[in-house]
This record gives sequence, structure tokens and C-alpha cells, in this order.
Amino acid sequence: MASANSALQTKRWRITASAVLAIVAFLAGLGWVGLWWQRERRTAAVEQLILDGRIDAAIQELERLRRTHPSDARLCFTLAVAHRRLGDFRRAEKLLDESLRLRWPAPDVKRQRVLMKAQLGDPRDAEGLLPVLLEQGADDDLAEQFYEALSEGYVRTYRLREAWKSLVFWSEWRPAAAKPRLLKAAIHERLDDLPGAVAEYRALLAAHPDHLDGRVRLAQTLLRMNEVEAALAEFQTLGPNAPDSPELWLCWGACLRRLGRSDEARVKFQQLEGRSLTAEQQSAVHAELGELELAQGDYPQAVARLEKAVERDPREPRLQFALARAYQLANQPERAEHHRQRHAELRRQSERLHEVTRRLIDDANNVELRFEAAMILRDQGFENDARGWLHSILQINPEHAGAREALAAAPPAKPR
Amino acid sequence: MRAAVPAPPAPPPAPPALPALPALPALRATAMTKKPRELPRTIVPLPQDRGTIGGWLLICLLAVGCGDSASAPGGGVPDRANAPANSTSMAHPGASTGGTASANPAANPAANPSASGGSGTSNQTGIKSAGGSVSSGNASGIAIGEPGPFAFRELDGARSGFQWTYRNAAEANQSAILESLGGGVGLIDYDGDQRLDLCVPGGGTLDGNVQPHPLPTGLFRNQDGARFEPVAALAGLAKATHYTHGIAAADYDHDGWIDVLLTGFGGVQLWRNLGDGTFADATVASGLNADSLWSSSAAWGDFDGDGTLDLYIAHYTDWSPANHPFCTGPQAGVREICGPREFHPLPDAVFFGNGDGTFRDARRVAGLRPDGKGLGVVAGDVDADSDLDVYVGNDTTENFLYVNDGQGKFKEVGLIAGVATDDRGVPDGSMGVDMMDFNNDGRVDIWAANYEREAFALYRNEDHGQFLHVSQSTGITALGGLFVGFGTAFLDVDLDGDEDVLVANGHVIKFPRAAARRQPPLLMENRQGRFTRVLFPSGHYFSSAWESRGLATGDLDGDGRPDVAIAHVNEPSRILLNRTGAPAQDPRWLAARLIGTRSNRQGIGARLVLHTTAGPRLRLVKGGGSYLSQSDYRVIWGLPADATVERLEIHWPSGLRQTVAPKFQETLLVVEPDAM
Repeated sequence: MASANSALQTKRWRITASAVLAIVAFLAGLGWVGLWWQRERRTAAVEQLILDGRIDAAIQELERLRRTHPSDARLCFTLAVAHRRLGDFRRAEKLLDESLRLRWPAPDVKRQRVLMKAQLGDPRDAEGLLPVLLEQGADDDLAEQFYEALSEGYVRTYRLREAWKSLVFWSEWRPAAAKPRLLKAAIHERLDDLPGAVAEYRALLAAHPDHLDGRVRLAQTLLRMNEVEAALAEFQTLGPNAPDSPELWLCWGACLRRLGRSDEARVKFQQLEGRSLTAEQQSAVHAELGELELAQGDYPQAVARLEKAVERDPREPRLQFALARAYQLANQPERAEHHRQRHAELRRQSERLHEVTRRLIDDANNVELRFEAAMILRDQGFENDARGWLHSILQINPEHAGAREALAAAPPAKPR
Repeated sequence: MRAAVPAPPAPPPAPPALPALPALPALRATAMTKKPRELPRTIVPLPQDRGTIGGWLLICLLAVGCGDSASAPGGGVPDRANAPANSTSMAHPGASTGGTASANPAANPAANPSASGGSGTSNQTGIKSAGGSVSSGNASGIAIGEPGPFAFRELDGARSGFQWTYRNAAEANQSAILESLGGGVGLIDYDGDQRLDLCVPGGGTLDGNVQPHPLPTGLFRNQDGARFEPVAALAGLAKATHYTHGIAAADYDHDGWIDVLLTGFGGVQLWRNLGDGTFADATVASGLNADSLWSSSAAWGDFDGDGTLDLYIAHYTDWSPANHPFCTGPQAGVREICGPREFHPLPDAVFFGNGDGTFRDARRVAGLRPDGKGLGVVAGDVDADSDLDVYVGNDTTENFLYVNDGQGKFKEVGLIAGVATDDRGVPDGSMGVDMMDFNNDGRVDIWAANYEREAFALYRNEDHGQFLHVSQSTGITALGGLFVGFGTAFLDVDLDGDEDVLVANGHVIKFPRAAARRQPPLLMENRQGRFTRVLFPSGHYFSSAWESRGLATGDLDGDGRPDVAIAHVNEPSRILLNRTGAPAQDPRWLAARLIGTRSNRQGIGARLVLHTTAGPRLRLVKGGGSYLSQSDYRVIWGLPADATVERLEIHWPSGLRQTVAPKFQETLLVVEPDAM
């Protein structure tokens, strides 16, 4: 009897445990499906962010997802693509290796490597692969990645005619795409065709009114054209919901200063002072405040501000000139002369670089012009850019002794 | 703010960090044997009427067909037996001496705009002209956001008789940079009747070999402030020897009659005023034929302090029919006018007067820089040391400020003084220039009208020879970057005591991308040192677009308000009579015309300080200024409503200081005393 009761109890216990386990398993499964569904949804959203060109935001989201799903091959590969498109090639390369390890299809990874190469300025493989893929019915998003990589590569290596051709096709094929508009505008700016750049930015904003980068660049270009009221209007449309972007606030303040609204401009710049800014942004803030002091006749204060601006961005000719003016007005002519000479030297180099790059538009394979551009940039301290030009020479002529020697003598590349 | 560039992706090969590119290419420019007339010895009244028998004879002669045609004067033969009678018999300042009398223009019918009637007519450009009547309705300017008092009456060419078109040879379709400079306008009193006449270069033509040929020069005699008669042929200065651009006028031989210098391609032409209503070509006799380069603007002034007038001539570039490259326009194969960067600069010239009507080349003595693509030049005493300094507006190269040591030796200090470039250290494409005291601080400031995308440059004098580019803090930059400014002048349009600024605009290339080829002129009101653009109703001259170049100012109708003449390219030039405010009810102006004795005749280089209860008001007698143009040397002040005048202090170039007691609504004729 006792043993029968014991067996019954055991059986009940087992049934109960099984039921609990089943419920737990069911709940766990449900949870897993929920998490999977949520991850899929977030991954899809991230992919949409990438398609929209908001790569920064996509990367942030993907990194968050990767922390919870470190073995997810799709996440890993998508993150690699995002980093490649943003230009972070080292990170992209690591993630592509990781994707292969997680068994993501090798052809996809290989394609990304071809795109990376094109983006870096060697378009040969991508140019060959694109027609094959299109023949095989590749999806539009992949085709767009090809146009993007090729266009960027052409721009990088200063093959502006090829870049233009690619961008025109891309923007006509996908009129709402932001990237080709931005790149076309950049080319317009390089060719000093600012009205052309403004037209591209306006077309971009018509399709993407919330494109902050496009709006700031439009305002900056209008400012370069001295269309200050029009530049300011770009920010005023944002109203109180203006995004918290240092570039935006800098440009806004610059507009106000150019309109003679010095007090309002000063407030904008001072608000930026406590923020985390890049060296260039810090320099711009000090420069703007220095110019305000100069106009008010406070020369010592102007000198102090402009010294800080130059310290943070010594290669900007405008700042050297402003500091020279401030020193001259502060009755320190020797220091003024030093900065005047520095300004003159930087301007000479810039003008020569302008001339060299102008000639390269029609003579893109001229390695001597490229070498001269590289040397000017090196003199100015733009080591990474100089290295880029030197590599572009070796793509044309791998035996170019000057480029080889210069690259050998160059300090290691600084990651951006 | 650094220019936007695409986000530069990481390692090799990186895109080149391009510098901010330079601005678009702008334009993208006899021994004297006659006895000098006796000079008056002190302040004398101005003649109030010029109605003489000689004048009537002149009009009759013109009426029977020996006058000028609208755009091609020169067909008539001057009758020197009759014409001079008019000029020499009247308005001889020496006829009266002593006292401090003055002219009241209100007594002159010409000063009353309603006296010259007529209704509005359409001119050949299709722009509605105010005709011969003041139209306060459509001529009133409106400052941004609020009503303003500014008004101009545009004289109808057909009714006024001032019909003149500068021709630049565009019809030859050669797209030569020569075409882009255009022409100027001169307001000069050539016949000494105290009314400003108009002298206008005619430009030229280009043949199939791009060889320039001259067109005649125009001269229009002011009859009553609203009517002008063409007298170039009669006066004998119609025949131009070069393709002409500019005019600079002064009494270089100190005989009491203003002489005329014309600039242009291949040389200058000096017309000596014989005092009888005619001119004689004195280019060779004066030695100015030594200058054979392409000249734009010029400025007279006594640079070496010897009491005789010298001459600064701005030269542009080395374009020539043999140096005429093909510059591509918007499409391949379409020819565009080349910008100045395609050519080398030409050195400017300075000639010192020898005192006998001849000149000597003084470029080396003066120490001029060999570079610069000069388009505008103004001479004035910038540093208050009683000698004449020179500011040169260069196209795409640094502007020059020559500080004079008093002996005619210049030191170029533009860059150190802060007036050579914009506020980023980049040279502008400068055209018209001026000197003035815009903020009434007693110091001479400098102004330059520039190319598109470049702010017009206002350089505030910070003392000790230093200037600060203040276009931003004064609201000038807010005008935007679409204007290509040429003729320009600071003048007190509304007679409120501070000088406003006018700029005549127009593009220089055939296919501009951002700005329009035809552009409206700008009037910017000075409001205590900040400038606000004055807007005008639709249809008004100032709201219409033109291809403008030269601009000159002066009181054409004797009402105390500075009027304006503007030269266009290939369309008729215009006269705009200032109708701002109501001086008849509230006379708040006074003017002074200087006659130098120890100093040069026009008093160029003098500083005039009007002491008022509202503070001192500095004005300069300047050589050159604006663009290719000659404004009147007379100085006009307006005054705030509550201010009263205390005294007028004149600092003559000779170093003498003279004080006189002026009154409202007076044009004082002030003769330099022998000694104080």
C-alpha cells in the first residue's frame, strides 16, 4: 500500500514536473521566437537605415544587437557592410572575416571585398563584376552598392569625369537617393561651381527634408556664396526642433555674424564652447569669437582667441590671416608678419594644388601632377591625403620611384 | 567656416583635401603758352544764371544741324567763333572777389523739378521712365521693412537731350575681355558756368582681327539741370584716338578750366580745355602719349606736393589682339569672355606734372609695384598728413594702398594696413573704389565694390594706419553674393549727415551661372554706421536690372542734393536726379567748392571738416574714385534735423588750414588764401 502510494506520488510528481517543464519550454520557445522576431525586425530596420544612407545610426543599432547575438552571421555581415560604406575599412575587414567564420555565404563576402577595393580607388574588379551581377538579376540594392563604391573610388582618386558619369546615372536611376546628390554636390564644390552644388543639395532636401547633413552643407555652400540670408533661412526652417549638431550651430552662428547680429552669434558660439568638439570645430568656434572681438576693437582678446584657433587648425590659411590682422592691430608687427608669411605660404600651396587638380580633370593619369599634389599635401601636413595620392600613382604606374620612396619614407597611416 | 567637402573615408588613397578655391574669374576690367585765368582771391558767390547771347547762339547753331547725334557725335564742326562767347563771358569767378556770398539754387528754375514738365515716357529699353516730372509715388524708395524717404527722378533721354550709349563692340562677337570693362561717365563743369556738364567716353568697335577702333566721345552741356545739349563736336573733343573706357578730369594746367583725360586700350588722350568752350588734344604735347598700355581708371592729384597736378593711371592686363585666347563657355565650343587670371598684370603708371603742362614718367621715383590688375583708383589723404595717398582696386589681385611721404614717394602698405584683401586674406575682384568717413569718427575709411560671391569691402580706419574689414558687422555682407559692383560712391543721398553708398552693378561674362548679367543698382542707407539696402517699387530705375559700369555723382540741378549719372553697356546711360526729402521746406545741406592757389586748382587732397552741434563731419576732395568715372569735386554735407553748423575747417594740400563760416543751402566757393 505504502509502496503504491509512493509510486503514485512519484508519478504525479513526474507529471507535474513534466507539465512545468513543458510550460517552461513553451515559454522559453515563445521567448526565443519573440526575441528572434524582434531581432529580425530590428535587423530589417537597420537595413532600411543603411538604405536610407543613415549609416551612423545603423551601426549604433547593429552594435547593440551584436552584443546580445554575437554569433549571428547576418548581423555580423550587415555590420561589416555598414562599416565599409562608412569608410571604416579596417573594422569592415575584421567583420567580414568574422562573417565567414559564422558561415555567412562566401560569395557575399567576396563581393564586399571587391566593393571595398573599388571604394579605395581600384575599380577594375567591380567594373567587371557589375555587368555579370546585373545579368544574373542582382537586386537593386546591391547594384546601388556598386554605383556607390565606384563613385566614391573615382572621387577618391580624382577621376572626376568617371565619377560624374557614374553619379549622373545613379541619380537618374534612383532620383530619391541621397548619396549621389551629396557626391555630385561635392564635385560641383571642387570645381568651384557653387550654384551647381546648391541645386544638388536642394534636390536632396526636396526628397529628404530631414537630411541634416544635406541642410548644413547647403547652408555652408550658401555662406561661401555670401548668400547669408538664404543660408540662415535653412536653419530657421528647423525652428526650435533643430537637431543638436555642432556643425549646424557653428554655421548658424556664422550666418548671424555675417549679418552683423554679433550678440546673437556670440551666444551661439559660447554655447558650443563647453561641448565635445573636434579640433576643427573648436578652432572654428575660437575663430568666430576672435573675429567678433576684432570687430569690437578688443585686440588682445582677439589675439588670444585666434591663437587658440590657429593652434587647433594651423593649416587653415584664413586663420593665419585673421591672427596676423589681430597682431597687427594689437601693435605686434613682428608676430603679425610671421602669420602673414605663413598665410601667404599656405595660400600659394593651395593655389598650386587648385591648379594641379584642375589639370588632372582632363589628364587623370598624369602621375607627375599627382605626385606634385601629394607633395603639397604632405608639406601642409595632410599625411593621409598625401598617402592617398601616392597610392593612386602606383595604381597607374607601379614602378613610380618617387611615389615608392615617398611612401616608404612616410610615417604610418593614422586611423581616422 | 570651412567649405563642405564629402566625408573623407579612411586610409589610402584618400581624396585630396582641396583648398577653398579662388573666386570665379572676375569679368570675369604742348608747352602751356596760354596765360592762366586770374584766380579769385577769396570766397565768391556762384553765378545764378547763364543766359547769355553766346549761349543762345550755341543753341541756334546746334538747332541747324551742327550738333551731335545720340550715339555718334562728331558729325558737326565746332564754331569756335560763337561757342566760346558763351563760356568765356559768363561764370568767371574772378569777376567778383571778397565776401562770403553764396548761390541760392532755389532761385534757379532748374532747381525746381516741377519747372521742367513732361509726362512719363518709355525709353528704348522698355523701362518706364519718370520723364520730366517728379513721381513721388513710384520714385520713393522703401528701406527694408519700413517706408523711407528716398526718391530719384530718372531723366528721359529724349526729353532731356542726354542720349548716349557706350558701345563695347559686343556685336563683333569676339568675346574679348576688352568688352567687359565698359565705360564711365564724367560730371564736369567744362564751361565754368557752375553747372555740371556730362563728358562720356564712347567705347569702340572690334574688327575681324580683334583690333580695337575708337568711337567718338560725348560732351553734353547742362542747360538747366534737366536738359542737356550735345556739344562734343562743337567743343572739338569728339574724336577719340583709342577704344575708350574712362574719364578723369581736372585743371592740370591751372588755367581755371577743367581738362579731360580719357583712358582706354592702347593709351590715354588728354584734352586741354582752352577756356573758350573748346578743347585741344594735348596728349603728345603733355608727354602722356608715353603711356600706351591698357588703362582703366585714373586719378588726378598733387602727389609730389609741388602744387601742380600729377596723374595716376591704373592699368589692367596684357590682353591684346595677339593675346586673345579661347575660353570655353557653358558648352564646348562656345566662346566665353576670359577672366583676368588668363592674363598677366600690367604695371600702373604715375606721371608728375612739370608745371608747364608737361608730365614726366615717375613710376620708379614713386615706387609703384609692378603687378596688379587695376580697375579703380582713388586718391585722398588717408592718414591726415596733408599729402595724397592712393588706393587702387585690382581685379583678382591684392588691392594697393600707397602711402605718400609727401614728396611723391609711395610705400605700398595694403596688406599690412589690412585693405588688400577680404577678411580671409583672399584678394577680391575689385572694381570701383572710394574713400570716406562712413562712421563720422574723423578718420578716412576705404570702400571697394567687388565681384560676385565677394562681399563689397568696407575697411574701417582703426587709426595708426590700420584698417579692419567690417563688411559683416556693418550689414554689407548681408546684401548677398550676386552683385558684380562697378561704379560706386559714398554720398549723403538723404542729407541726414552721414554718407550712404551707391553701387552700379552688372555682370562681365556672357554666361554667368549664379548671378544675372543685368543687375539692379544698390542704394544702401547709412544708419549710424550700419547699412540697409533701400528697396524701390517695381519699374523704378533702382529696381530694374541693367548692365551698369561707371557712376558719377554731383548736384546737376543745383538743389543741393547729389544726383547720379550711370553708364551702361550698349544701352543708354542715365541721369537720376535726387528727389529725396524736401529740402525746400527743411534746408539741411551746404556745399563747398575749393579753388586752390598754392595747392592744385581743384583742391584735390583737401580735408574738409564741418563742425556741427552733432559732431564733426569729415569730407575729402578726392582724385579719381568710383569706376572709370569723374564725380564733381564739390563737397556736399547734409545735416541731421536738430544740428546747427559751427564752422567749416579746410585743410588744404599745401598745409594751410582755413576756417570759414558756412550757412545752410549755400555752395561756398572757397579760394585758398596765400597764407594764414
